[in-house]
Amino acid sequence: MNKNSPSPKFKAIALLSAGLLTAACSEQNPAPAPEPATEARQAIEQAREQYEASKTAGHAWSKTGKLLTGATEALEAGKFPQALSLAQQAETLADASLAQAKAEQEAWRDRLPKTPAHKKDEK
Amino acid sequence: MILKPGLIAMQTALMALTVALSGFASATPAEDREAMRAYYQKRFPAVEVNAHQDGVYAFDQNAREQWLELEDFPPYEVAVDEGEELYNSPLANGASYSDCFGDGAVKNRYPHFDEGRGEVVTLELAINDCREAHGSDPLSYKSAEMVRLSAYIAWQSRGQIIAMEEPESAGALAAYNEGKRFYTTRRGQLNFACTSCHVQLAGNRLRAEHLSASLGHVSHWPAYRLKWQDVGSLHRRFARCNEQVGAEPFPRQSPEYRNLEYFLTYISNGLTWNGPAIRK
Ligand code: HEC
Repeated sequence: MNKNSPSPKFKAIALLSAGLLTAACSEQNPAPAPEPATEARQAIEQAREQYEASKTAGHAWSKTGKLLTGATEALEAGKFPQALSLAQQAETLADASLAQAKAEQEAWRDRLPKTPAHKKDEK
Repeated sequence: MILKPGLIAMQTALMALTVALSGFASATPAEDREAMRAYYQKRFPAVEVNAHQDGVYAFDQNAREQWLELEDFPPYEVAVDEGEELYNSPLANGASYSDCFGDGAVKNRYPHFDEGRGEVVTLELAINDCREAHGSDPLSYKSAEMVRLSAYIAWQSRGQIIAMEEPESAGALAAYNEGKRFYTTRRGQLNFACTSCHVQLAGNRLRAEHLSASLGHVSHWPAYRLKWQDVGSLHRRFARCNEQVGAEPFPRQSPEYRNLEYFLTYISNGLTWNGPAIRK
């Protein structure tokens, strides 16, 4: 072992004190974002992405937008579990509206009445 | 998915009906129009097809009587008068709308596919084009001014026959087919297409209202709706029909709604331009 390199014991002490220091500091400074906030924020981002995709597809559902607004407001108010739940509901709807867009890509073709001549052609 | 009870029953009825109906995306506009007329003729044997220009009043006798009474003192008259005043007011460079539209009897020129621009031009777009050509700023498509000007033009055009040229060029056909696609595509949380209500369920009741046929859906705008307590545009009505199935509406005069108007106008050929109208 290199003479200049710190001994394992020293390393352990250094790490421990760094840890104590961080803990001590965080008692004075505002707490880092707690886990639920991050989770809610990520859920909102993910739902928003799907919602934007449904808009691009021309299939956005009004309820999705409302749930997302509610989720964002709850997040800002610090109500993280509520924000998370609303964001998850928004994503469920956004996913369903995207599934609708996909299903409709062909399904729309069969919904207009057709002429008797056409009906004969098909047989 | 949460459905209102009436709508659940309708969904079930729709599934049964869907089997009976179907169409070709590749059908020509003339074939679509013929098929739609035949369909409504069969569905409403007692109603002359062109009479659908009066919406539900073509077959709902009670509503029709109330409507005829309202027509004695039509609530859209003020809007027509205000529209006339606007129509005759000078634009920024001193010209007026008459320089673009003569006496205003021009409903039968719109909508049309403008090959140069590659898009459907509606009356509302043409009104703004006219303003801009004469140095005035365009109006918002939601503005009271826009709807009043179009009310006056509808009034001046009353009695003209809907006779849109059949879309033939690649561009015009694409716009028509986009409109047809919009009309037949299910949207919103309730998963309804325009056809669900206005073709398959036409004549049925949805809550307090009968469902009208789509022939004539474009003929009578702007309409004074008792619900709105004002005259409103066709695209405002489109937005309302999107919203009521839980779909986000599109902006007035968006390409989506203009293409839809283009499609609906073509299938309504032969009916009469009869705006402004009164509706619930
Ligand atoms: C859930 C059923 C439903 C769906 C889906 C629906 N509408 Fe409607 N629509 C109505 C009802 C109800 C009325 C009012 C009664 C009537 O005139 O049919 C109405 C009225 C209208 C009117 C006014 C008719 C008039 O005489 O003034 C137009 C135009 C219209 N709808 C177009 C559309 C279009 C375009 C779509 C598709 C984007 C659509 N509707 C989808 C229920 C529906």
